[in-house]
Amino acid sequence: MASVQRGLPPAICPGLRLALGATAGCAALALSFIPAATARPDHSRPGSGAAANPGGAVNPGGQANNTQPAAQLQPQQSGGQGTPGPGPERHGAGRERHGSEHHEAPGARHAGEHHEQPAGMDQSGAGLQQNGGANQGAAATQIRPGLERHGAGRERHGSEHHERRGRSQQHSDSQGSVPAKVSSGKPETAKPSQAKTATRAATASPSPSAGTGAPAAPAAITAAPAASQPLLAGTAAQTVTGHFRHATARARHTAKRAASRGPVLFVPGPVAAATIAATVSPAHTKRTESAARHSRMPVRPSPIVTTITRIVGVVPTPVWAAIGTLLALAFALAIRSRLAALRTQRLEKQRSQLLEDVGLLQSALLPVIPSRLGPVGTSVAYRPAAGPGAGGDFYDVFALEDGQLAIIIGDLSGHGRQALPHTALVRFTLRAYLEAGLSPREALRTAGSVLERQLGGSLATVLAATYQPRDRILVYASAGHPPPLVLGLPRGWRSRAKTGEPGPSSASQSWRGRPQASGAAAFSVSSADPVTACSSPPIGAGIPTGTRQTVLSLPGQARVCFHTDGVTESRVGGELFGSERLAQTLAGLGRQATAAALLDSVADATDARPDDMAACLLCLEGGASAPAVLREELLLDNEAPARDRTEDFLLACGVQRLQAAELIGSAELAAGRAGSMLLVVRYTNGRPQLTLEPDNVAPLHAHHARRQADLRVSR
Amino acid sequence: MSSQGATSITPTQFGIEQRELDARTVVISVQGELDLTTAPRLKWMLVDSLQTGHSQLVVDLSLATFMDSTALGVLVGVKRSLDAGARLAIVCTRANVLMIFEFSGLDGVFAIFPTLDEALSYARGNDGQAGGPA
Repeated sequence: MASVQRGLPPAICPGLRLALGATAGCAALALSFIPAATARPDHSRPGSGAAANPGGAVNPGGQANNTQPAAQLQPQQSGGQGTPGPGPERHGAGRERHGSEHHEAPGARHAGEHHEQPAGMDQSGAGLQQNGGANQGAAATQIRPGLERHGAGRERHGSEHHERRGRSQQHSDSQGSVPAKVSSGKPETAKPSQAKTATRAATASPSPSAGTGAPAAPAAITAAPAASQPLLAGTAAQTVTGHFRHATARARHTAKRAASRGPVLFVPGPVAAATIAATVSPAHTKRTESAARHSRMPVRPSPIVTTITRIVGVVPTPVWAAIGTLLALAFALAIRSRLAALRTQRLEKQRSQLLEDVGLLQSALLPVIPSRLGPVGTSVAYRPAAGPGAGGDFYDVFALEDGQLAIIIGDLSGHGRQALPHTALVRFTLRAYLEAGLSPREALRTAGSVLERQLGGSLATVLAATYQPRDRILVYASAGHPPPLVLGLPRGWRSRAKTGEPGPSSASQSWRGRPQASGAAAFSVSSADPVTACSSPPIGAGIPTGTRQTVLSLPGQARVCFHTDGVTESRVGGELFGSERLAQTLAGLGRQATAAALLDSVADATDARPDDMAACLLCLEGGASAPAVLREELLLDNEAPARDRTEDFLLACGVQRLQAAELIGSAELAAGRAGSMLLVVRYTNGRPQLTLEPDNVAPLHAHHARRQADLRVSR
Repeated sequence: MSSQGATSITPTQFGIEQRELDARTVVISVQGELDLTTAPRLKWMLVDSLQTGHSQLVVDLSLATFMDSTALGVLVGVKRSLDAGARLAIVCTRANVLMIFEFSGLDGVFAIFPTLDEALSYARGNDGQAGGPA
């Protein structure tokens, strides 16, 4: 082919192209609508056929010129009806076809040339020819819709041309009569099988021998105008329509098969020409088909559909794979999102249910306390620690039948959720004993013996108290728990009691809540200074608890603050907050103090709170008075406490050492006889008076001990 | 807890070490604060000592600056788990830690001594009595 192209007169092809390019669009458009007479001259462009037709390379330009008149002789008829001899007819038709190809449009030509050049370098004339024709037709289609049909027709010519040429390889000159037969309206001479074979040959192999198929090319050429004529000329062309339908159908199918392998944008190499031709041609072949059937099937695909089809056709396989992957991914993500949404709904529902349950549990463990119980203002507060220490504190404030108040506050040393059932157990057990009428010490002692084995090894520090508003008598007992902080006691009152001097008993003392002395020490002396010697151990320590009890007569306007150790063990600059600072903070809150405000103030004043904080605050009412009664109780039994601890207790209560020693001797004797004995230090006008009283809880405790002993024996 | 003033504790790095004096005696020394986060280390050290056959345990709290109810619970738990013949002694000289024992009422439960020698003597059963000094 390259040699063929070189053999062309360079001046002819470009010149013609340039000269006729301008009119090509109009001419091609006109071909679609006007009679063949007008189109005929356009088809018979000399030189252009030679330029495009390798087989036609044998056709000199003169022959082309000769053909032109021949075509013009019958302007109203198709080229196939050109009765002149096969030779001129062939050449003329060939030139017509190629001429029309180049008439298409400059764009068509360029598009065709683009593919033509690389293919033409390597390929035979047949391959190149087909490429040129096909691509020109394609380009024409793209450029102007009006040109489509014409270009397609010409493209079909190209395909047909190859068919003919391919077939010529097999049937050689026997096909030379085809043009004559076509022109004579006998389509059956071109067998469908032959056309098929030819199509395969032309499509599958860019055969080097295609250049030798020169005789066949004219046959196609002869048919080409005939194919285009049905669009233009009507019935005369129908004589060949059947023939072409078969041929082009095969070509189209073959090309489609080739195209199905995927579009090839640019493939230089031996197979490039055929591949490109097969790739691009299907659509055009289809159009050609529809054009050939124009009289029967006027409906053809719209340009939009065609464009979409073409766009879809050129998408590479990896892109298809990527699109498929993305679609699958999107689908999977959509499903996942939906599942997550459903799960979120379900979790949200469960969460609301859990919150309700937690609210119930919280109210059970930390009851809502009325702000006032009788004449006493009451308030409670709880601040869980941030971290593993949360949980374990508990409290309760409730009214007893006889008008007294009962207060329970405690802390379970085992923290966290595991402590929750134990805190409830301890609280309700103590509440039951207090409601049954036991004193705080008795309640603790009984509960301690009962709860010992139920706490599972954890320690519970508890403080139980009762308050009788009429006489403002506070009774409290501790099991390893910090004593309450009492504000409003007269300055130095407790200190004098410690030294054995009588405490203030007259109302002439100042009973203001605020200390009268300045400095940090003022608070310590103004708040009750409890006797801590011989404190009761926590519940769960394995030894009897509920051995100590303190009874105070409180002045009006006094405040009693029950708290857990989390309050006093919070940290200020590396130091414990301590009860001293707590007293200052409580005093600073004034008369409107509440437990919540107290804990907020503590939280503001401290920089680390490793444990829960709980507080119960009693704000007493009544006129200024003195604490008329102070009573300290210590239970003595066979097991404990040791003699020196008892002495410490008595000394702390203000008993003289000599007197203490005497009392301890007689108390131990009595306890030895009764199993247990209560040592009571009663203050009259501040003077301690020592008495021994029977242990009210002893029978219950003894019964419990007997049962335990029986259990041990039975084992 | 003390009403005599805020208890001052010196922030000290927590440390705990174990010394095996003989096949039956172990001294565990604690430095710093024994609280919710550090008490478990004391617990497991004591439990390990018991499991390795040591029956004479001395916990030296001379350098301990603070002890909360969790640490008390640990000591109580170990004390209750002692086999017959095994002894736990505590060395404590700091007033604030002694006050914690007193407030909790556990000063009568443990044998608390001001010196390590006294504690070792008690743990080895050389003092002839089960109770410890307050």
